[in-house]
Amino acid sequence: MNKRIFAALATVVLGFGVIAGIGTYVAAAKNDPGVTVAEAADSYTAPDGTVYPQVKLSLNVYPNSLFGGHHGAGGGAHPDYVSYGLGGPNGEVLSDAQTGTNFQVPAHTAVTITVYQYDSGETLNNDYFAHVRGTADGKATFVQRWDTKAKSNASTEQQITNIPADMVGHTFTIHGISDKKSQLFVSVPLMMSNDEEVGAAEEEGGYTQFPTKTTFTFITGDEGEYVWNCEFPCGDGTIARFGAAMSTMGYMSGHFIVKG
Amino acid sequence: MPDTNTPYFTGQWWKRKDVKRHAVLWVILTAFIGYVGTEVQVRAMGAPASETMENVINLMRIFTWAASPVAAFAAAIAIGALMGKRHYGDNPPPESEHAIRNSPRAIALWIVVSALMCLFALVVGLIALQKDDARLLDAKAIHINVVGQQWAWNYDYPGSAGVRSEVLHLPVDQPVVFHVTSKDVKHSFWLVQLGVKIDANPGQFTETSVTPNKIGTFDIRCAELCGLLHAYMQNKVIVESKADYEAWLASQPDTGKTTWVEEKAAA
Amino acid sequence: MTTMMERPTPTSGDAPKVGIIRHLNVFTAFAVGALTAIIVWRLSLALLPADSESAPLFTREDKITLLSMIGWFVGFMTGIGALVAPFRWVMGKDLSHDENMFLAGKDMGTKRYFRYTTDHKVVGIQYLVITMVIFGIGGILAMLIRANLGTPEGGWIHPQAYNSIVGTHGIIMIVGTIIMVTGPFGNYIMPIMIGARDMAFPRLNALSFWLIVAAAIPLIWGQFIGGISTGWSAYNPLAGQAPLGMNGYIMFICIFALSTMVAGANITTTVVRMRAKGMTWNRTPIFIYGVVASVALALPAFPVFFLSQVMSGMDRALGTSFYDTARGGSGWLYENLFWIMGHPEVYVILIPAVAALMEMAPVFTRRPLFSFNVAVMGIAGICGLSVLVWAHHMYISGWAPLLNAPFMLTTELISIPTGMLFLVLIGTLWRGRLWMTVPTMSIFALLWNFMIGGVTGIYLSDVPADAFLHGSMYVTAHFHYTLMGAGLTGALAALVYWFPKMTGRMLDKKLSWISFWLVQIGFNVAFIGMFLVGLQGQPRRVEAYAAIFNKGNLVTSIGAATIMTGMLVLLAAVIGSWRSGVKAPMNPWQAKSLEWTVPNPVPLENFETLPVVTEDVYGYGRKN
Repeated sequence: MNKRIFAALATVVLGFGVIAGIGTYVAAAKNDPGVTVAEAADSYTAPDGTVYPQVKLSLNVYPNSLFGGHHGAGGGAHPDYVSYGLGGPNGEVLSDAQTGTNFQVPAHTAVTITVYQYDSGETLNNDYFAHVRGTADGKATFVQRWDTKAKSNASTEQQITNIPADMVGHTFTIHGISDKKSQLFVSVPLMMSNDEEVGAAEEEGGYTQFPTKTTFTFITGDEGEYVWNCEFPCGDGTIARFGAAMSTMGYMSGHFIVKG
Repeated sequence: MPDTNTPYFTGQWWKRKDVKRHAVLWVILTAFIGYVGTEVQVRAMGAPASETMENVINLMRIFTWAASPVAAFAAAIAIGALMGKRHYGDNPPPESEHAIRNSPRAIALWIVVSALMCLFALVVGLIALQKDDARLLDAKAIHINVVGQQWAWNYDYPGSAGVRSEVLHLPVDQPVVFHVTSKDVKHSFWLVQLGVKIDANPGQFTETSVTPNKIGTFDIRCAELCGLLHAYMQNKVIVESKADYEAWLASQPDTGKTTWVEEKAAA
Repeated sequence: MTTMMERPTPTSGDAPKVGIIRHLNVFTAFAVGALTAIIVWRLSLALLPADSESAPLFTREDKITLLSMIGWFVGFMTGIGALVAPFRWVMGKDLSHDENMFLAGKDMGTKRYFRYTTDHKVVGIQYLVITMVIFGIGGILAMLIRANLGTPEGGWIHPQAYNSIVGTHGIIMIVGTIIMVTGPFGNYIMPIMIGARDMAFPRLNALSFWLIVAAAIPLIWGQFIGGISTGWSAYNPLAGQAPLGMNGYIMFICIFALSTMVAGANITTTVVRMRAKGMTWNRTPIFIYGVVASVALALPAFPVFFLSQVMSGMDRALGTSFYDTARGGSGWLYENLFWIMGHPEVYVILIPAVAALMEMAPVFTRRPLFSFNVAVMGIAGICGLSVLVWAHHMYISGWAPLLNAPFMLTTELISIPTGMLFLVLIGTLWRGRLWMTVPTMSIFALLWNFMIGGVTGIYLSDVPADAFLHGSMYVTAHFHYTLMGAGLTGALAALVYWFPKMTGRMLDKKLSWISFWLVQIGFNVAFIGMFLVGLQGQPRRVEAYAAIFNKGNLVTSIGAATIMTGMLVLLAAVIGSWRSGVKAPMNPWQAKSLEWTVPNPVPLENFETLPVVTEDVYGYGRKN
């Protein structure tokens, strides 16, 4: 009889071991690109005069995921998916970039994000997202042609509150779970690039030299876990074009953690 | 032990000891199940923020109290059986001293009672349903369009100067009719503390209505699995006084206009 | 074939003449299946044209996936030998007597469990094992869900992987619970219980089992190509948008639906045609009614499920638009088709489990079943009403608000026949002398769990209350109370009860008691916690949630781990007792039904002489 009890205990231990093993495998299969932690480096004066510490993030949006160290390059998964990625301070394509779709920023801080958009675009399915929402001044700073070689504006810089809904490349939209805390909601449309995009960073005739550049600043509230995603339907060949790249974390969506 | 070869429920059967024991158990359990069942559930549901939600809470109370005598009856008999003679061992106990295969009176009573309870539940439900449906036709109601898409909600306010928002603003004590649709897959628009939910279907408009009666900030959650970030398809509804609501509407930029002008390709 | 099996002609001393089927078993099936799948995959990869860039849907990869899965299916069924007899029949010759005996598993030892064996007892054991495997996988997935919900922010696994695990847990547990009673006990016990030598169609019996094995592979395959990220209901148009793994779900359902149709026709025919002499409908045990009701209810339900998935597959692979609103289809069409299957299906699960406990109640209270007629009426009433209630899953879908009231009526009416089943159970318990065994306590557990499941069902049947509760964790807790708290409890009791007949050994008493209490306590802790977060407003199928739900989810996770522990203890008890348990007497429970009149182990054709029945099986106690 004692042998039976022992066997039962062994089964329980073994069973939970199997569960832990499978869990570890499934968790590892997430293929998480890791979290980019932004540190306060500067200060920002909001329109109401309050001064906040400021962090800066520089992102690129590519027509495919062949730009660097994580996804499509080197034969990884889904080279044909559109993808966000960490970029250099002037929109450079970083050959060693992890995808950079998970971010961590401090609470009660001004976050300034600059997005260089290398992809073309079409019409949004909901023009709500053609408007700038939730930034500190209600606006975004926009340059239609940014010269990545000269590292300067190739067209005039302007303040925008919205862009035509049929010229959107992608959007950067942060939202979260409704709880007792203040909610962060930021959505900024990213104008399409006029130059047709092809290839990968390292190829001949790779990404365009003139991406669009959009800069915006928002103030974070209390600590919290948010997500961001693109609200432009760019998962081609799927229902409502929200499958494929749009439904896989690390391409057009990621975590946005407000902490510390 | 009473003579088991005569039918059980004859003579003054209600004076039998085990019948009395079961009856006492039944009454106690009815009170216990009814009280605990309603209190635990109603507390978990939190404070209602609309008459619709108050109705839902009332329905939960009514149904729990209506069901508790039935549940308590089954529980009393089950507990009574467990408290009776129990037999342990590898061989069966001797067979029962009685072999009641049928009791037409008990069966008829059971079926009649359950049919009446069913009728009661139906009537209560229809009255509540009627109230909800009537609100949809309220001429005083304001109308708000709700658009769900993967994975965010947004609202527009017909009659305003093109105001749209991602946080829902509602004036208190004002009937509102929602016209809900989706841009892609199915979502479900759930105003949690207001007790209202309706699916957002692509290409179709569905309607629901509510009259918020408390000022405060409440939750909106998507209640239909809609893909990758379904868990994050949430935001808030802010119920405010009529004046605050009007002020908020006026403070919103006129989003109908565009501030962007096309640039001639610069040198 | 049946007559041949009833009167076996004596074989000569020579080795039996058995053709190709001698060489076919589960290994050849897997090999041929895999090979066919690979060939079809390479061919379709080479031959199918590329998608046009401007096409609204890219269908090439779906075509390749579905074709490969169909290749697997055809290859597997060929490799197991399912096609041998039909092929011979088309050629004008049937199987020889030796071949039929070989198929029946005569003198084959354990090898017969890995073959296309037609003996109902072998099929029953096969079903028992595959049910345990299914519950094992489903349980592991449940634990992964609970682990991910350990913290509000989730994110331990990829959200789509989480959605996929939720969906796979759902569908695999639904399938597991559908077959958990009618599979093992409906196949092993039922024919003996009605005094038959085998099922009406033994080859269909083998077919229904091996179809489930064939179906399992596409579902597992799907997990590695994106998973089924839609939940078990696979609502369109989300299912049209989902990754390639969705094709695995579609194939799985199509093949499984075939299996239930085949099994349903077979079991129904067996019960209607093959009951022993004297076993009138009034003397037929209530468990038989439960099994027949279950499979007969599946007969109209599953073809609809099959069709809904064929259309879903066409939308994905051929670019049709049955369900795509943007191109003229309707998601409501899918919802209707799905729930026309989906609501009868919960009674497919529930009825045989409750009927099994009603069968055991007289044995363990040593008194007759209280009002057999009410039990039959209850089962019939549930069957009749259950096909008329499907749209209560769609109260808030906006499909037909005007139909909400009529569907509320039918849904609430179903509480009357359900109440009849309660009456039968408590009537049998009333003043009975309890023989305290796990099945006895399971009756009490069922009353408790099914009462909670039933009463919460009343709230959900009410349209205004449902407008708050629908799509929340409350619904999840509710159907776990009915399918697991009531259904699985009945199936586990059936396992303890019939284990001695099926294996010839008693199930370890101490371990089965430990398991019973762990499972029941863990279950109630887990799902009462889930009711509470549902009432607080936590939606279903979320991988992250607001911090206020943290406590309730923690309680649920602790409860779930307790259930898992209990189920693992039961697994140890089953394996240990099967190998080296106490040898069971022929009739350990001193029950009166026919399956206890045959010796252990049950001989190939069950009865040497077919029994004649003169009274029902509930003749306990003194008559009055």
